[in-house]
Amino acid sequence: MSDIVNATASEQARRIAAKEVSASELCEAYLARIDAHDGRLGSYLLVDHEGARAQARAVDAAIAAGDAVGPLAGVPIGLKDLLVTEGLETTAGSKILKGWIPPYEGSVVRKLRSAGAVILGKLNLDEFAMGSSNEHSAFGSCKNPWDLGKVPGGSSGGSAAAVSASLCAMSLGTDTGGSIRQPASFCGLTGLKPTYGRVSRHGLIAYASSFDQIGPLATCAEDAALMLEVIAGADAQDATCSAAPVPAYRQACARDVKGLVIGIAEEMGGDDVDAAVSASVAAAIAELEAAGATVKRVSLPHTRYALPTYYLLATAEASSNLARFDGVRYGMREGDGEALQNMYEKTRGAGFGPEVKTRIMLGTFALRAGYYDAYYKKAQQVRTLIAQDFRQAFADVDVIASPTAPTTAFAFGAKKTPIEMYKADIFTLSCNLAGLPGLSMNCGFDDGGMPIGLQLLAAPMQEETLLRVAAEYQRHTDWHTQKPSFGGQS
Amino acid sequence: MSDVTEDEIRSLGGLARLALSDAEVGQLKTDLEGILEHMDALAEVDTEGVEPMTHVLGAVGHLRADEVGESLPAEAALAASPSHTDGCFDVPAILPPGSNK
Repeated sequence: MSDIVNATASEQARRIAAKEVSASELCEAYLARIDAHDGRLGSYLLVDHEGARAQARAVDAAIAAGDAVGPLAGVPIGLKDLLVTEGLETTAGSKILKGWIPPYEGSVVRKLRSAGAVILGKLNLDEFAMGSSNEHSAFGSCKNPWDLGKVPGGSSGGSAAAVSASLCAMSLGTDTGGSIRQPASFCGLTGLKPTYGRVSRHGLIAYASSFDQIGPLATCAEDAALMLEVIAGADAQDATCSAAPVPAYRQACARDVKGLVIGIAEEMGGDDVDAAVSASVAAAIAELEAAGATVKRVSLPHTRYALPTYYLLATAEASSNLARFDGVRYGMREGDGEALQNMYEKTRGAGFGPEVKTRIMLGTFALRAGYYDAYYKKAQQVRTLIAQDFRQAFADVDVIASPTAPTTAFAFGAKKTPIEMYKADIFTLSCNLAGLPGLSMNCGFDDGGMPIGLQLLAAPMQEETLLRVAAEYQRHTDWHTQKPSFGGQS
Repeated sequence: MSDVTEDEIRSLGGLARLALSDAEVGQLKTDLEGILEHMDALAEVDTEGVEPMTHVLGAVGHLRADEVGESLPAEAALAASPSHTDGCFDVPAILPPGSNK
Protein backbone atom coordinates (compact mmCIF):
# COMPACT_ATOMS: atom_id res chain seq x y z
CA MET A 1 0.00 0.00 0.00
CA SER A 2 2.95 2.34 0.50
CA ASP A 3 3.08 3.33 -3.17
CA ILE A 4 -0.50 4.59 -3.14
CA VAL A 5 0.00 6.42 0.14
CA ASN A 6 2.89 8.22 -1.54
CA ALA A 7 0.84 9.01 -4.66
CA THR A 8 -0.73 12.45 -5.06
CA ALA A 9 -4.38 12.90 -4.08
CA SER A 10 -5.27 13.36 -7.76
CA GLU A 11 -3.62 10.05 -8.58
CA GLN A 12 -5.37 8.34 -5.66
CA ALA A 13 -8.75 9.64 -6.87
CA ARG A 14 -8.00 8.35 -10.38
CA ARG A 15 -6.96 4.89 -9.16
CA ILE A 16 -9.99 4.55 -6.89
CA ALA A 17 -12.35 5.52 -9.72
CA ALA A 18 -10.54 3.00 -11.98
CA LYS A 19 -11.05 0.30 -9.28
CA GLU A 20 -7.30 -0.28 -9.01
CA VAL A 21 -7.58 0.23 -5.27
CA SER A 22 -10.63 0.53 -3.03
CA ALA A 23 -11.41 3.55 -0.89
CA SER A 24 -11.54 1.22 2.13
CA GLU A 25 -8.04 -0.14 1.49
CA LEU A 26 -6.66 3.37 1.17
CA CYS A 27 -8.52 4.53 4.28
CA GLU A 28 -7.12 1.58 6.30
CA ALA A 29 -3.60 2.32 5.07
CA TYR A 30 -3.83 5.90 6.35
CA LEU A 31 -5.52 4.94 9.62
CA ALA A 32 -2.73 2.40 10.23
CA ARG A 33 -0.09 5.07 9.59
CA ILE A 34 -1.83 7.50 11.96
CA ASP A 35 -2.15 4.85 14.68
CA ALA A 36 1.51 3.85 14.26
CA HIS A 37 3.15 7.26 13.98
CA ASP A 38 1.01 10.17 15.13
CA GLY A 39 1.77 9.58 18.78
CA ARG A 40 5.21 11.06 18.09
CA LEU A 41 3.98 13.83 15.79
CA GLY A 42 0.78 15.11 17.43
CA SER A 43 -0.88 16.24 14.22
CA TYR A 44 -4.37 14.88 14.98
CA LEU A 45 -6.57 16.04 17.85
CA LEU A 46 -9.20 13.49 16.89
CA VAL A 47 -9.17 10.47 14.55
CA ASP A 48 -12.61 9.39 13.35
CA HIS A 49 -11.86 5.73 12.56
CA GLU A 50 -15.46 4.63 12.26
CA GLY A 51 -16.72 7.70 10.38
CA ALA A 52 -13.86 7.46 7.88
CA ARG A 53 -14.46 3.74 7.34
CA ALA A 54 -18.18 4.33 6.77
CA GLN A 55 -17.44 7.05 4.20
CA ALA A 56 -14.93 4.82 2.42
CA ARG A 57 -17.41 1.92 2.32
CA ALA A 58 -20.06 4.24 0.84
CA VAL A 59 -17.62 5.30 -1.91
CA ASP A 60 -16.75 1.67 -2.65
CA ALA A 61 -20.44 0.73 -2.80
CA ALA A 62 -21.17 3.60 -5.20
CA ILE A 63 -18.28 2.64 -7.47
CA ALA A 64 -19.28 -1.04 -7.40
CA ALA A 65 -22.84 -0.06 -8.34
CA GLY A 66 -21.55 2.00 -11.23
CA ASP A 67 -22.89 5.27 -9.73
CA ALA A 68 -21.24 8.58 -10.52
CA VAL A 69 -18.85 9.63 -7.73
CA GLY A 70 -17.39 13.02 -6.84
CA PRO A 71 -13.93 14.31 -7.75
CA LEU A 72 -12.54 13.49 -4.27
CA ALA A 73 -14.17 10.05 -4.01
CA GLY A 74 -12.18 7.99 -1.52
CA VAL A 75 -9.43 10.57 -0.97
CA PRO A 76 -8.45 10.69 2.73
CA ILE A 77 -8.58 14.27 4.04
CA GLY A 78 -7.75 15.87 7.39
CA LEU A 79 -9.45 19.03 8.63
CA LYS A 80 -8.00 21.79 10.78
CA ASP A 81 -9.95 21.65 14.04
CA LEU A 82 -11.26 25.17 13.45
CA LEU A 83 -13.76 23.78 10.93
CA VAL A 84 -17.11 22.82 12.36
CA THR A 85 -18.06 19.16 11.83
CA GLU A 86 -21.54 17.91 12.71
CA GLY A 87 -21.43 15.28 15.43
CA LEU A 88 -17.61 15.36 15.60
CA GLU A 89 -15.88 17.20 18.45
CA THR A 90 -14.54 20.62 17.38
CA THR A 91 -12.23 22.44 19.78
CA ALA A 92 -10.42 25.26 17.92
CA GLY A 93 -7.40 24.01 19.89
CA SER A 94 -8.88 25.61 23.02
CA LYS A 95 -9.85 24.34 26.46
CA ILE A 96 -12.89 26.60 26.33
CA LEU A 97 -14.47 24.44 23.58
CA LYS A 98 -13.16 21.04 24.73
CA GLY A 99 -15.91 18.49 24.27
CA TRP A 100 -18.09 20.62 21.98
CA ILE A 101 -20.07 18.49 19.54
CA PRO A 102 -21.35 20.85 16.83
CA PRO A 103 -25.01 20.49 15.84
CA TYR A 104 -24.35 21.51 12.22
CA GLU A 105 -21.90 20.96 9.39
CA GLY A 106 -19.76 23.79 7.97
CA SER A 107 -20.27 24.50 4.26
CA VAL A 108 -16.82 23.35 3.09
CA VAL A 109 -17.12 20.13 5.07
CA ARG A 110 -20.50 19.51 3.44
CA LYS A 111 -18.94 20.14 0.02
CA LEU A 112 -16.08 17.74 0.78
CA ARG A 113 -18.47 15.01 1.82
CA SER A 114 -20.59 15.42 -1.31
CA ALA A 115 -17.40 15.23 -3.38
CA GLY A 116 -16.75 11.81 -1.81
CA ALA A 117 -13.86 12.75 0.48
CA VAL A 118 -13.07 10.44 3.38
CA ILE A 119 -12.57 12.62 6.44
CA LEU A 120 -9.97 11.03 8.71
CA GLY A 121 -10.13 13.48 11.60
CA LYS A 122 -9.41 16.89 13.07
CA LEU A 123 -5.95 18.43 13.01
CA ASN A 124 -3.97 20.35 15.62
CA LEU A 125 -3.61 24.14 15.51
CA ASP A 126 -2.66 27.16 17.56
CA GLU A 127 -5.59 28.02 19.81
CA PHE A 128 -8.23 29.85 17.73
CA ALA A 129 -5.62 30.04 14.91
CA MET A 130 -3.56 32.55 16.90
CA GLY A 131 0.07 31.63 16.42
CA SER A 132 2.83 30.82 13.97
CA SER A 133 4.31 27.68 15.53
CA ASN A 134 1.57 25.44 16.97
CA GLU A 135 3.04 26.08 20.42
CA HIS A 136 -0.22 27.80 21.42
CA SER A 137 -2.37 24.68 21.06
CA ALA A 138 -4.08 23.89 24.38
CA PHE A 139 -3.62 20.17 23.65
CA GLY A 140 0.15 20.00 23.08
CA SER A 141 2.25 21.13 20.14
CA CYS A 142 2.34 19.30 16.86
CA LYS A 143 5.90 18.70 15.62
CA ASN A 144 7.58 19.10 12.25
CA PRO A 145 8.04 15.73 10.52
CA TRP A 146 11.31 16.97 8.94
CA ASP A 147 12.79 17.48 12.43
CA LEU A 148 10.79 16.67 15.55
CA GLY A 149 12.71 19.35 17.48
CA LYS A 150 11.26 22.04 15.25
CA VAL A 151 7.84 23.63 14.89
CA PRO A 152 5.58 22.77 11.94
CA GLY A 153 4.54 26.43 11.66
CA GLY A 154 1.14 27.79 12.42
CA SER A 155 -1.52 28.19 12.88
CA SER A 156 -2.42 25.28 10.54
CA GLY A 157 0.57 23.29 11.85
CA GLY A 158 -1.28 19.98 12.22
CA SER A 159 -2.73 20.36 8.71
CA ALA A 160 0.79 20.76 7.28
CA ALA A 161 2.53 18.13 9.40
CA ALA A 162 -0.10 15.46 8.64
CA VAL A 163 0.19 15.89 4.85
CA SER A 164 3.98 16.03 5.00
CA ALA A 165 4.08 12.81 7.07
CA SER A 166 1.52 11.11 4.77
CA LEU A 167 -1.04 10.84 7.56
CA CYS A 168 -3.65 12.20 5.11
CA ALA A 169 -3.52 12.81 1.37
CA MET A 170 -4.50 16.44 1.65
CA SER A 171 -5.86 18.75 4.32
CA LEU A 172 -7.73 21.97 4.85
CA GLY A 173 -6.22 24.80 6.83
CA THR A 174 -7.25 28.39 7.37
CA ASP A 175 -5.22 31.52 6.69
CA THR A 176 -5.79 34.83 8.48
CA GLY A 177 -2.25 36.24 8.27
CA GLY A 178 -0.27 33.36 6.77
CA SER A 179 -1.60 30.31 8.62
CA ILE A 180 -1.72 28.11 5.50
CA ARG A 181 1.33 29.43 3.65
CA GLN A 182 3.83 29.59 6.53
CA PRO A 183 3.25 25.98 7.72
CA ALA A 184 3.26 24.85 4.06
CA SER A 185 6.67 26.51 3.79
CA PHE A 186 7.96 24.95 7.04
CA CYS A 187 6.77 21.45 6.05
CA GLY A 188 7.65 21.50 2.34
CA LEU A 189 4.11 21.61 0.92
CA THR A 190 1.98 23.49 -1.58
CA GLY A 191 -0.49 25.63 0.38
CA LEU A 192 -3.06 27.97 -1.12
CA LYS A 193 -4.85 30.84 0.58
CA PRO A 194 -7.74 31.80 -1.74
CA THR A 195 -8.98 35.32 -2.45
CA TYR A 196 -11.13 36.71 0.37
CA GLY A 197 -14.67 35.57 -0.49
CA ARG A 198 -13.63 32.76 -2.84
CA VAL A 199 -14.46 30.06 -0.26
CA SER A 200 -17.36 30.15 2.19
CA ARG A 201 -16.44 30.82 5.81
CA HIS A 202 -19.65 29.22 7.13
CA GLY A 203 -18.59 26.77 9.82
CA LEU A 204 -15.14 28.31 10.18
CA ILE A 205 -14.80 29.43 13.80
CA ALA A 206 -13.97 33.10 13.30
CA TYR A 207 -10.68 34.66 14.36
CA ALA A 208 -10.69 37.84 12.21
CA SER A 209 -13.64 37.81 9.84
CA SER A 210 -12.31 40.31 7.29
CA PHE A 211 -9.15 38.21 6.82
CA ASP A 212 -10.03 34.51 7.36
CA GLN A 213 -10.09 32.11 4.41
CA ILE A 214 -10.11 28.31 4.16
CA GLY A 215 -7.71 26.64 1.75
CA PRO A 216 -5.83 23.44 0.88
CA LEU A 217 -2.46 22.07 1.98
CA ALA A 218 -1.27 19.51 -0.54
CA THR A 219 1.84 17.92 -1.98
CA CYS A 220 1.49 19.60 -5.38
CA ALA A 221 -0.33 22.35 -7.27
CA GLU A 222 -2.60 19.92 -9.09
CA ASP A 223 -3.95 18.57 -5.78
CA ALA A 224 -4.52 22.09 -4.44
CA ALA A 225 -6.41 22.86 -7.67
CA LEU A 226 -8.56 19.76 -7.26
CA MET A 227 -9.45 20.74 -3.69
CA LEU A 228 -10.16 24.37 -4.59
CA GLU A 229 -12.56 23.31 -7.34
CA VAL A 230 -14.55 21.44 -4.68
CA ILE A 231 -14.60 24.04 -1.90
CA ALA A 232 -14.84 27.35 -3.85
CA GLY A 233 -18.05 29.04 -4.88
CA ALA A 234 -21.17 30.81 -3.73
CA ASP A 235 -22.82 29.91 -0.43
CA ALA A 236 -26.07 31.34 0.86
CA GLN A 237 -24.71 30.88 4.42
CA ASP A 238 -21.89 33.41 3.94
CA ALA A 239 -22.86 36.87 2.71
CA THR A 240 -19.22 37.72 1.93
CA CYS A 241 -18.78 34.68 -0.31
CA SER A 242 -18.42 35.57 -4.00
CA ALA A 243 -20.94 34.37 -6.56
CA ALA A 244 -18.29 34.41 -9.31
CA PRO A 245 -18.19 31.10 -11.23
CA VAL A 246 -15.53 28.60 -10.14
CA PRO A 247 -12.92 28.14 -12.90
CA ALA A 248 -11.49 24.74 -13.86
CA TYR A 249 -8.38 25.19 -11.72
CA ARG A 250 -6.88 21.86 -12.78
CA GLN A 251 -6.88 23.01 -16.39
CA ALA A 252 -4.90 26.09 -15.39
CA CYS A 253 -2.21 23.71 -14.07
CA ALA A 254 -1.62 22.42 -17.60
CA ARG A 255 -0.54 25.80 -18.97
CA ASP A 256 3.06 27.01 -19.23
CA VAL A 257 4.34 30.39 -18.04
CA LYS A 258 5.52 31.87 -21.35
CA GLY A 259 4.89 35.61 -21.42
CA LEU A 260 3.92 35.76 -17.76
CA VAL A 261 5.43 38.61 -15.73
CA ILE A 262 6.79 37.90 -12.24
CA GLY A 263 7.18 40.87 -9.94
CA ILE A 264 9.85 41.12 -7.28
CA ALA A 265 9.48 43.68 -4.52
CA GLU A 266 12.58 44.71 -2.65
CA GLU A 267 10.39 45.36 0.40
CA MET A 268 9.64 41.63 0.59
CA GLY A 269 13.16 40.38 1.10
CA GLY A 270 16.42 41.93 2.22
CA ASP A 271 18.45 41.56 5.38
CA ASP A 272 15.72 39.95 7.45
CA VAL A 273 15.88 36.85 5.28
CA ASP A 274 18.21 33.86 5.89
CA ALA A 275 20.84 33.48 3.17
CA ALA A 276 19.71 29.95 2.26
CA VAL A 277 16.11 31.15 1.88
CA SER A 278 17.13 34.09 -0.35
CA ALA A 279 19.30 31.83 -2.51
CA SER A 280 16.58 29.20 -3.03
CA VAL A 281 13.95 31.83 -3.81
CA ALA A 282 16.25 33.51 -6.34
CA ALA A 283 16.98 30.12 -7.95
CA ALA A 284 13.25 29.38 -8.18
CA ILE A 285 12.59 32.70 -9.91
CA ALA A 286 15.46 31.97 -12.33
CA GLU A 287 13.89 28.59 -13.06
CA LEU A 288 10.61 30.30 -13.98
CA GLU A 289 12.48 32.78 -16.18
CA ALA A 290 14.12 29.88 -17.96
CA ALA A 291 10.62 28.47 -18.50
CA GLY A 292 9.58 31.64 -20.34
CA ALA A 293 8.45 34.11 -17.69
CA THR A 294 9.94 37.59 -17.41
CA VAL A 295 10.88 39.36 -14.20
CA LYS A 296 10.13 42.94 -13.31
CA ARG A 297 10.79 45.04 -10.19
CA VAL A 298 7.76 46.40 -8.36
CA SER A 299 7.40 48.61 -5.32
CA LEU A 300 5.19 47.90 -2.30
CA PRO A 301 6.17 50.90 -0.16
CA HIS A 302 3.77 50.24 2.74
CA THR A 303 4.91 46.65 3.34
CA ARG A 304 6.74 47.55 6.56
CA TYR A 305 3.45 48.68 8.08
CA ALA A 306 1.71 45.37 7.38
CA LEU A 307 2.66 43.92 10.77
CA PRO A 308 1.26 46.70 12.98
CA THR A 309 -1.77 47.12 10.70
CA TYR A 310 -2.56 43.43 10.76
CA TYR A 311 -2.10 42.93 14.49
CA LEU A 312 -4.31 45.91 15.36
CA LEU A 313 -7.15 45.02 12.99
CA ALA A 314 -7.07 41.24 13.41
CA THR A 315 -6.99 41.45 17.21
CA ALA A 316 -9.79 44.04 17.22
CA GLU A 317 -11.92 41.64 15.20
CA ALA A 318 -10.86 38.75 17.44
CA SER A 319 -11.84 40.61 20.61
CA SER A 320 -15.32 40.94 19.16
CA ASN A 321 -15.58 37.44 17.62
CA LEU A 322 -14.39 35.67 20.76
CA ALA A 323 -16.97 37.44 22.91
CA ARG A 324 -19.30 34.55 22.04
CA PHE A 325 -17.30 32.18 24.24
CA ASP A 326 -18.90 33.13 27.54
CA GLY A 327 -20.04 29.90 29.18
CA VAL A 328 -23.67 30.22 28.06
CA ARG A 329 -24.30 28.44 24.74
CA TYR A 330 -21.40 26.00 24.41
CA GLY A 331 -18.12 25.02 25.98
CA MET A 332 -16.99 25.20 29.58
CA ARG A 333 -18.40 27.28 32.42
CA GLU A 334 -16.68 28.42 35.61
CA GLY A 335 -18.09 30.46 38.47
CA ASP A 336 -21.62 29.09 38.32
CA GLY A 337 -23.63 30.33 41.28
CA GLU A 338 -21.90 33.70 41.20
CA ALA A 339 -23.18 36.83 39.46
CA LEU A 340 -23.35 36.75 35.65
CA GLN A 341 -20.34 38.96 35.02
CA ASN A 342 -18.18 36.89 37.39
CA MET A 343 -19.21 33.75 35.52
CA TYR A 344 -18.19 35.35 32.20
CA GLU A 345 -14.84 36.51 33.54
CA LYS A 346 -13.98 33.25 35.29
CA THR A 347 -15.02 31.10 32.33
CA ARG A 348 -12.97 33.14 29.87
CA GLY A 349 -10.06 33.54 32.29
CA ALA A 350 -9.84 29.77 32.78
CA GLY A 351 -10.77 28.75 29.21
CA PHE A 352 -8.47 30.87 27.04
CA GLY A 353 -4.71 30.39 26.82
CA PRO A 354 -2.13 33.20 27.21
CA GLU A 355 -1.76 34.14 23.52
CA VAL A 356 -5.52 34.35 23.01
CA LYS A 357 -5.80 36.58 26.09
CA THR A 358 -2.97 38.79 24.80
CA ARG A 359 -4.74 39.25 21.46
CA ILE A 360 -8.16 39.88 23.00
CA MET A 361 -6.54 42.50 25.26
CA LEU A 362 -4.70 44.14 22.34
CA GLY A 363 -7.89 44.23 20.29
CA THR A 364 -9.86 45.65 23.20
CA PHE A 365 -7.16 48.30 23.60
CA ALA A 366 -7.28 49.25 19.88
CA LEU A 367 -11.07 49.65 19.96
CA ARG A 368 -11.20 51.49 23.26
CA ALA A 369 -12.61 55.00 23.36
CA GLY A 370 -9.74 57.47 23.20
CA TYR A 371 -7.46 55.08 21.30
CA TYR A 372 -9.80 54.18 18.43
CA ASP A 373 -8.65 56.92 16.00
CA ALA A 374 -4.93 56.52 16.75
CA TYR A 375 -4.96 52.73 16.42
CA TYR A 376 -8.00 51.07 14.85
CA LYS A 377 -9.02 53.74 12.37
CA LYS A 378 -5.42 54.54 11.50
CA ALA A 379 -4.80 50.86 10.76
CA GLN A 380 -7.90 50.73 8.55
CA GLN A 381 -6.49 53.65 6.56
CA VAL A 382 -3.07 52.03 6.20
CA ARG A 383 -4.85 48.85 5.08
CA THR A 384 -6.30 50.90 2.20
CA LEU A 385 -2.78 52.07 1.27
CA ILE A 386 -1.39 48.52 1.35
CA ALA A 387 -4.19 47.33 -0.96
CA GLN A 388 -3.46 50.29 -3.30
CA ASP A 389 0.22 49.31 -3.49
CA PHE A 390 -0.80 45.88 -4.74
CA ARG A 391 -3.36 47.27 -7.22
CA GLN A 392 -0.62 49.39 -8.76
CA ALA A 393 1.87 46.53 -8.82
CA PHE A 394 -0.58 44.12 -10.46
CA ALA A 395 -1.13 46.61 -13.28
CA ASP A 396 2.41 45.67 -14.37
CA VAL A 397 2.92 42.06 -13.25
CA ASP A 398 0.92 38.82 -13.03
CA VAL A 399 2.36 37.47 -9.80
CA ILE A 400 4.65 38.74 -7.06
CA ALA A 401 7.29 36.28 -5.83
CA SER A 402 9.00 36.39 -2.42
CA PRO A 403 10.08 34.13 0.41
CA THR A 404 7.04 32.81 2.30
CA ALA A 405 8.87 33.27 5.59
CA PRO A 406 12.22 34.86 6.45
CA THR A 407 13.54 31.57 7.87
CA THR A 408 12.94 27.85 7.74
CA ALA A 409 11.19 26.12 10.66
CA PHE A 410 12.60 27.20 14.02
CA ALA A 411 13.11 25.21 17.23
CA PHE A 412 10.43 24.93 19.90
CA GLY A 413 10.79 27.78 22.37
CA ALA A 414 12.92 29.87 20.00
CA LYS A 415 10.53 32.84 19.90
CA LYS A 416 10.57 34.40 23.36
CA THR A 417 8.15 37.33 22.98
CA PRO A 418 4.89 37.80 21.08
CA ILE A 419 6.49 40.31 18.70
CA GLU A 420 9.32 37.89 17.78
CA MET A 421 6.68 35.32 16.91
CA TYR A 422 4.62 37.85 14.93
CA LYS A 423 7.67 38.64 12.78
CA ALA A 424 7.58 35.06 11.44
CA ASP A 425 4.61 36.32 9.36
CA ILE A 426 6.11 39.49 7.88
CA PHE A 427 5.84 38.33 4.25
CA THR A 428 2.43 36.68 4.49
CA LEU A 429 0.38 39.36 6.28
CA SER A 430 -0.04 41.88 3.47
CA CYS A 431 -1.79 39.31 1.25
CA ASN A 432 -4.62 39.05 3.80
CA LEU A 433 -4.74 42.80 4.35
CA ALA A 434 -5.39 43.21 0.60
CA GLY A 435 -7.66 40.14 0.32
CA LEU A 436 -5.42 38.55 -2.32
CA PRO A 437 -4.85 34.90 -3.16
CA GLY A 438 -1.44 33.56 -2.13
CA LEU A 439 0.41 30.29 -2.57
CA SER A 440 3.49 28.78 -0.96
CA MET A 441 5.45 25.89 -2.42
CA ASN A 442 8.68 24.10 -1.61
CA CYS A 443 11.66 25.47 -3.55
CA GLY A 444 14.59 23.83 -1.78
CA PHE A 445 16.16 22.97 1.58
CA ASP A 446 18.59 24.67 3.92
CA ASP A 447 21.82 23.08 5.22
CA GLY A 448 19.91 21.45 8.05
CA GLY A 449 17.55 19.75 5.57
CA MET A 450 14.56 21.98 6.36
CA PRO A 451 12.21 23.00 3.52
CA ILE A 452 12.18 26.53 2.07
CA GLY A 453 8.99 28.15 0.75
CA LEU A 454 8.46 30.36 -2.29
CA GLN A 455 5.41 32.62 -1.97
CA LEU A 456 3.43 33.78 -5.00
CA LEU A 457 0.74 36.44 -4.75
CA ALA A 458 -1.73 37.44 -7.46
CA ALA A 459 -4.55 39.92 -8.00
CA PRO A 460 -7.98 39.07 -6.52
CA MET A 461 -9.62 35.97 -8.08
CA GLN A 462 -6.43 35.04 -9.98
CA GLU A 463 -5.92 31.65 -8.29
CA GLU A 464 -5.55 30.15 -11.78
CA THR A 465 -2.39 32.18 -12.35
CA LEU A 466 -0.88 31.03 -9.04
CA LEU A 467 -1.65 27.39 -9.77
CA ARG A 468 -0.36 27.71 -13.33
CA VAL A 469 3.00 29.06 -12.13
CA ALA A 470 3.28 26.51 -9.33
CA ALA A 471 2.42 23.56 -11.59
CA GLU A 472 4.91 24.66 -14.24
CA TYR A 473 7.62 25.05 -11.59
CA GLN A 474 6.81 21.58 -10.29
CA ARG A 475 7.16 20.13 -13.81
CA HIS A 476 10.69 21.55 -13.94
CA THR A 477 11.81 20.63 -10.40
CA ASP A 478 11.29 17.81 -7.92
CA TRP A 479 11.46 19.61 -4.56
CA HIS A 480 7.73 19.01 -4.03
CA THR A 481 8.19 15.24 -4.32
CA GLN A 482 10.68 15.08 -1.40
CA LYS A 483 9.32 13.49 1.76
CA PRO A 484 10.73 13.47 5.30
CA SER A 485 12.05 10.14 6.58
CA PHE A 486 9.47 10.32 9.40
CA GLY A 487 7.22 7.27 9.45
CA GLY A 488 9.46 5.31 7.08
CA GLN A 489 8.65 7.43 4.05
CA SER A 490 12.11 7.58 2.50
CA MET B 1 2.56 56.19 23.94
CA SER B 2 3.59 52.63 24.76
CA ASP B 3 3.38 52.80 28.56
CA VAL B 4 0.46 50.83 29.94
CA THR B 5 -0.23 50.76 33.67
CA GLU B 6 -1.36 47.69 35.57
CA ASP B 7 -4.60 49.52 36.37
CA GLU B 8 -5.22 49.95 32.65
CA ILE B 9 -4.59 46.24 32.11
CA ARG B 10 -7.14 45.42 34.82
CA SER B 11 -9.63 47.82 33.32
CA LEU B 12 -9.14 46.33 29.82
CA GLY B 13 -9.54 42.87 31.36
CA GLY B 14 -12.89 44.01 32.74
CA LEU B 15 -14.00 45.30 29.33
CA ALA B 16 -12.88 42.03 27.74
CA ARG B 17 -14.56 39.95 30.48
CA LEU B 18 -11.31 38.19 31.40
CA ALA B 19 -10.46 37.27 34.99
CA LEU B 20 -6.70 37.91 35.26
CA SER B 21 -4.35 36.85 38.04
CA ASP B 22 -1.72 39.32 39.30
CA ALA B 23 0.95 37.35 37.43
CA GLU B 24 -1.08 37.60 34.22
CA VAL B 25 -1.56 41.34 34.69
CA GLY B 26 2.23 41.78 34.95
CA GLN B 27 2.93 39.60 31.91
CA LEU B 28 0.24 41.32 29.82
CA LYS B 29 1.66 44.72 30.73
CA THR B 30 5.11 43.65 29.49
CA ASP B 31 3.74 41.98 26.34
CA LEU B 32 1.34 44.78 25.39
CA GLU B 33 4.02 47.43 25.86
CA GLY B 34 6.38 45.40 23.64
CA ILE B 35 3.72 45.01 20.98
CA LEU B 36 2.44 48.60 21.10
CA GLU B 37 5.97 49.89 20.58
CA HIS B 38 5.79 48.34 17.09
CA MET B 39 2.22 49.55 16.51
CA ASP B 40 3.28 53.16 17.04
CA ALA B 41 5.12 53.04 13.68
CA LEU B 42 1.75 53.66 12.03
CA ALA B 43 1.79 57.24 13.34
CA GLU B 44 4.44 58.12 10.73
CA VAL B 45 2.20 57.16 7.78
CA ASP B 46 0.44 60.08 6.09
CA THR B 47 -3.20 59.01 5.98
CA GLU B 48 -4.72 62.43 5.40
CA GLY B 49 -7.83 61.93 3.27
CA VAL B 50 -7.36 58.13 3.04
CA GLU B 51 -10.62 56.21 3.32
CA PRO B 52 -10.51 53.59 6.13
CA MET B 53 -11.03 50.13 4.64
CA THR B 54 -14.21 48.55 5.94
CA HIS B 55 -14.47 45.76 3.38
CA VAL B 56 -11.50 44.37 1.56
CA LEU B 57 -12.90 43.73 -1.91
CA GLY B 58 -15.97 45.93 -1.83
CA ALA B 59 -18.46 43.12 -2.38
CA VAL B 60 -20.66 43.47 0.67
CA GLY B 61 -23.78 41.68 1.71
CA HIS B 62 -25.20 39.34 -0.91
CA LEU B 63 -28.82 39.10 0.18
CA ARG B 64 -30.84 35.93 -0.09
CA ALA B 65 -34.55 35.74 -0.86
CA ASP B 66 -36.71 36.40 2.18
CA GLU B 67 -38.04 32.88 2.43
CA VAL B 68 -38.52 30.68 5.46
CA GLY B 69 -36.00 27.85 5.35
CA GLU B 70 -34.93 25.06 7.64
CA SER B 71 -33.20 26.14 10.80
CA LEU B 72 -31.49 24.39 13.66
CA PRO B 73 -34.03 22.77 16.03
CA ALA B 74 -34.03 24.42 19.47
CA GLU B 75 -33.04 21.14 21.19
CA ALA B 76 -29.94 20.85 18.98
CA ALA B 77 -28.98 24.47 19.63
CA LEU B 78 -29.36 23.96 23.38
CA ALA B 79 -27.68 20.58 23.58
CA ALA B 80 -24.11 21.88 24.03
CA SER B 81 -24.92 24.52 26.64
CA PRO B 82 -23.58 24.03 30.18
CA SER B 83 -27.12 24.47 31.53
CA HIS B 84 -30.58 24.89 30.00
CA THR B 85 -34.20 24.62 31.18
CA ASP B 86 -37.51 24.54 29.28
CA GLY B 87 -35.99 25.48 25.93
CA CYS B 88 -33.94 28.38 27.32
CA PHE B 89 -30.25 28.85 28.16
CA ASP B 90 -29.67 29.20 31.92
CA VAL B 91 -27.45 32.02 33.11
CA PRO B 92 -26.60 33.05 36.67
CA ALA B 93 -28.43 36.05 38.11
CA ILE B 94 -27.14 39.40 36.91
CA LEU B 95 -27.07 40.65 40.51
CA PRO B 96 -25.04 38.61 42.99
CA PRO B 97 -26.94 36.14 45.22
CA GLY B 98 -28.21 37.88 48.33
CA SER B 99 -28.39 41.26 46.62
CA ASN B 100 -31.84 42.81 46.80
CA LYS B 101 -31.11 46.13 45.15
